[in-house]
Amino acid sequence: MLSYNALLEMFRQNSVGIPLITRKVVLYHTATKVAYIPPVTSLFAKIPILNLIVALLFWKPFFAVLFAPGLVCMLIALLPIIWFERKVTARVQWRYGPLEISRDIGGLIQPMADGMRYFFQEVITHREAHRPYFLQFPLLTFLPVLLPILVIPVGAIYAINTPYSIPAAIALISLIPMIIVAIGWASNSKYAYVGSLREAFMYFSYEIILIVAAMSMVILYGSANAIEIVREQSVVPGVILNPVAALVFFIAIIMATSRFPFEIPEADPEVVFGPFVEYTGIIFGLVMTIAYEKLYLLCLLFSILFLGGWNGPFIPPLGDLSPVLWLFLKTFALMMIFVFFRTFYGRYRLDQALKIGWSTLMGFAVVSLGISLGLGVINIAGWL
Amino acid sequence: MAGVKKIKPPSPDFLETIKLHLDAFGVGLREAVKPSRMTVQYPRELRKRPKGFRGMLVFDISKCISCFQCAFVCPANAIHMKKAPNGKYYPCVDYAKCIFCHFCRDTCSKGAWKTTNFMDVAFKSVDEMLLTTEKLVNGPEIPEEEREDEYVVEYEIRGGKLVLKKETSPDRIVEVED
Amino acid sequence: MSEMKEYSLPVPVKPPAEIKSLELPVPPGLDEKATKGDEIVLFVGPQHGGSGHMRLIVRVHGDVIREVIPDPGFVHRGVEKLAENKLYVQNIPLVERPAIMDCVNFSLGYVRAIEQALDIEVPERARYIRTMLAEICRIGTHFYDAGILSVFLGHTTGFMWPFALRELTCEALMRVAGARITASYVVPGGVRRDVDNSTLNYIYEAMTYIQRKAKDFERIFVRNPVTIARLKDVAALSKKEAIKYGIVGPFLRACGVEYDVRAVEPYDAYDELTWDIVVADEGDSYSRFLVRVNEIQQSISIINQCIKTLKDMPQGNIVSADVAGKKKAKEGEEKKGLDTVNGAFFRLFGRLTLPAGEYTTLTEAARGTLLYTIVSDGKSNVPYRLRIVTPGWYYLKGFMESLKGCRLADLQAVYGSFGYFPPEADR
Repeated sequence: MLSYNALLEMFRQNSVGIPLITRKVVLYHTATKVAYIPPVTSLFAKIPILNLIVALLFWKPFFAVLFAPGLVCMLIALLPIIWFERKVTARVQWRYGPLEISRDIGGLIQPMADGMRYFFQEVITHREAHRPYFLQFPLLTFLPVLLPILVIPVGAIYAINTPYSIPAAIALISLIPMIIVAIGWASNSKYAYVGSLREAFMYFSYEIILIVAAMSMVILYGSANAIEIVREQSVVPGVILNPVAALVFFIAIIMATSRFPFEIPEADPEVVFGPFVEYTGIIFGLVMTIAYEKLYLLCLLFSILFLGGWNGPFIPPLGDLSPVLWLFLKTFALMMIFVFFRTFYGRYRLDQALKIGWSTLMGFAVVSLGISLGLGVINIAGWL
Repeated sequence: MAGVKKIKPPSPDFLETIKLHLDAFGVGLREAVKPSRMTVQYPRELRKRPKGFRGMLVFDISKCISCFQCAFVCPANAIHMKKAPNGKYYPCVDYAKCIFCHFCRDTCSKGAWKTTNFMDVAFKSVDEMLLTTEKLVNGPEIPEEEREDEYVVEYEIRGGKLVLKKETSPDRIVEVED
Repeated sequence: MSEMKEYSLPVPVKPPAEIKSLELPVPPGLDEKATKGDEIVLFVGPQHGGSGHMRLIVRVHGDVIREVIPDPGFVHRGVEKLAENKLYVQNIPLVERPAIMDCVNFSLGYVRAIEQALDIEVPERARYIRTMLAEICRIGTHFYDAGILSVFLGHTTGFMWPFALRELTCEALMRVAGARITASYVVPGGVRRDVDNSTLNYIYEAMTYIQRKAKDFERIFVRNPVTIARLKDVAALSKKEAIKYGIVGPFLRACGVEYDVRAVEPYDAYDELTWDIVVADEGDSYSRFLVRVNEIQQSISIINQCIKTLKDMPQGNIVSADVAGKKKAKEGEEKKGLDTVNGAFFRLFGRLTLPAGEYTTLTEAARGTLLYTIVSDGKSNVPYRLRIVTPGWYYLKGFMESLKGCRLADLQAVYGSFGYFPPEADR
């Protein structure tokens, strides 16, 4: 049994170091006087329960899941990306996009307004639905969405430092389609059924190539630990070392997150909104963002595997948050590219998507594996 | 003189397919950087209606000779003739039926019917949609405080580019044309 | 390679109750057949993201369509019956209602039937204006259909761009006729108003702009590999089948038949202009779409020729002297037409009475051959019977036949490739 103080000390020893918040900041006045800003944490240091809560929040595993790269970072990425998607689509389509709410900043808070609307909308459970599952699964999606964060490190912030972080992350991310299929099943409707069937088929078509592409990078770096992988890329990012793997991983992400041209499970003229057809209100808001959350997670993986992860100039005031910033920027830029695909693609048919996944992309995936093996041999032989 | 043009749907090979993918991406990217927008933001901007636009009708009672021809020709039976105190019959227009074909205006040999450039009209009830002769004479009016428009926009193509020509909104939106 | 063995699972599927309760037009025993075998009967529509107001009763085997039975009539307004109670001239706004984008083509066919009955010769300027507007409407309709096809394929940019470009044709109609759609512009013996040169200039510029932007549209949607993959070799009809099922218009030409009413029985100014019938051999969904994309180019060329001729022509003389009636031209003196119908509309057209008989015209509307038959009893000023056979109705059978053997997800794509427009087919 840990004592209160021992617990507090344990949290503190593994806390995230952000000079702006956790340490005293020195400010220099013009008259060469020195002023200190007391850290936020010291304000609560003396108060019994609050100091434990504050220490817990800054405790690395907790911080990773809750703040960066976890829930808060995800939300910070999601709201602008939904806005950006609508805006850039509108631009390409000779329109303006959302504008009426906050005209001066180009309708930036539109996703928040939508969320608010969802929040106060009535949640309808139709008669045929399996009621407990129908209401449960949207909330359960947070499990497979947040679990991969445990093994995705950002610089010094990580929950679990494991040598198998990349395979573990991919395995945990691949739980999301299960939830979507379950959602479709619980809805017990024709379109939801067809939609979840399509989701299952899409899962077959992308999962293998996603794993093969990731594994070829693991072979190339000789480690499956994300921290090792990012260190390996300090000079040359992975996208230059093995562009084929990057391409395959990229297309697999499009398939996995049902972006265009593989927006097959949710095809609105065919199956209305696929598995999510029966949802309303805040639950619809939750299930609608699953694809975006998955996109965020896979983009994190893409940046770590191919874009050098959190490598970037260190910014002293941010401390441990500096790598978070770099990773976030890379991830967000990637997400912007992915949502742009909506503007110039239609949608493939399901059998065509399966065919692409199992023929062309599978071929490329094997080639990428070959490239990695070749580079590995060259590396061992010491020809470089 | 009609010839025959045979077309062949493309069957691109692998490299051509990649080129076509990039082509589509390029067009999308170009439009994202430099969009050719053509939205008219309606309540704030109004489309400029050309001369001879078939809008709401205005009736000039002094020219009417009660010949009933406009009521006869109306394809939608929207024009009713009502007896006025002076014994003559004058038309009323039921906007629930009117299809804005302006056969009535073309019919009137005395030029009693006039068109306006205005048609964005809303009624609170079906009964209100029957405009009596008095209302037709005055023409549609918009209260000043309900106006949101700042500009009048006209599509113009200059040098192969679509330009939304903006002019400040006139004091009166409803313009009666002869 | 041996065929894969099929396994069937006993899924407890009930046939849709509407088959009986709504008395749908299906062969007897369809519901029992569907539940006992390994087929499912699906309803697509009447309100569905992928169809207009029409119900399609689809018999699917797994993912493959065995048969599609159409159940049209949801937007039926009885245009033919309504026409029997209206003056001949009052029917002009009515007959263009079925296909609002295609208004000039639709009223043109009707008006030509009246002109045929009364033996009216249309002045040259009016003929060119009519041709120009008919082609503008054709462009607008083709763009509309392209937009609907794109949104069926999930390509939202391909939906917005044609609709935006169609706005320019609407603007052209608005400047010429005064209304964006439903122009009611063509009248027996000519057109209602003259076109001035500034409007002609606008139309010319708009066509240049459309031509330029249509190239971009081709790159982003028409030649997009995803579009090609979705439409190529889908729902192909052979030349023989196309003729057998009575397909019309661009869809017939996509099957390799060189038939166009504008060329076979030229009306208005078509035989004085240079243009091409666009023909493809494949007969699949992609060539059906591509033929229409190429027809837009041909229409632009026709419009530009019309504008050139119209600019050289003096203004005025847009309504035939035959309509003006009373004053017969003296011998040797050329009959002078009217410059405007203003103030004389009812006097000119209100009392039209057709000699007894049956008058039929064929018109090439945007979606294909359009047939009007007016039956007149010779005494009354309303038609005894007006028969309209719209292109949508003509190719409905071919549309249903082509769907056999497609995948269910292709249903929307084929629907879009035919540009099927329920109000037009139902009239």
